[in-house]
Amino acid sequence: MPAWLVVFLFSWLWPAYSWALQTHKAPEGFIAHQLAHIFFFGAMLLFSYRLKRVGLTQRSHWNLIRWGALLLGIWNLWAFAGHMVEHLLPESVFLGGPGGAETHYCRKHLLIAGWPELAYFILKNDNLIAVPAFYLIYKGLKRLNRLLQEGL
Amino acid sequence: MNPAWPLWIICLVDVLGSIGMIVFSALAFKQALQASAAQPTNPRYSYLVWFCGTLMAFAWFRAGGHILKYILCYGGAYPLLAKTLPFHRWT
Repeated sequence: MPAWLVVFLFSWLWPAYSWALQTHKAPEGFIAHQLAHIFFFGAMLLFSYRLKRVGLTQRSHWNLIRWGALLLGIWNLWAFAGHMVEHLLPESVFLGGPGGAETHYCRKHLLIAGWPELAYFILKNDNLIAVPAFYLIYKGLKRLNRLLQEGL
Repeated sequence: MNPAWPLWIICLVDVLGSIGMIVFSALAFKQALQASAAQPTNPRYSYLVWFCGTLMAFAWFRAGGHILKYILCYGGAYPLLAKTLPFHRWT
């Protein structure tokens, strides 16, 4: 039996774990995530600028899409700030209640000791910006299709 | 004495918002496909298909990941989950 076939069969019959996960707290995951937010913000800003520049925003459906893209850009800054603030908070401001440290995150309370805690609480609700952004894009496209159906 | 605010509000907004993102991104993608089908030679509408398709992929993976976080946590896989999240506070 050829060697390559032995290796092939062996790795198929006795596979080792190969998890595509980051299992440590090193900063590279955080930095990559934050960089992605910056790039996403830049892309949305450029997209909305181009829509305005070429005059498409004079049409209401494109204007909705532009505002959706702008909101997505704002959402990226919002989420970026949220992740930064998260790093400022000490573990002690997350109150576990009777279960102590083992209490699930959603059952804990946040001690509002200063502006970082207050900022964390507000910034973590970033879906309040992301969902309207997606809704505006959807609404703009729906209006575009209505115009296309009417042959305008 | 400083006030302590419940974190379930953040969790609720996260789950409901994630569902909203999944729904609206899919609806937007469907609308973009519809526009492109109406005028297949219009490159602007082809661009919108790619734009919305990318946004939908982003929204589904992000929102799916966030919802999965809650399912895994309440499903008893918390220790595994805690290891996979580099900077979320799930202690």
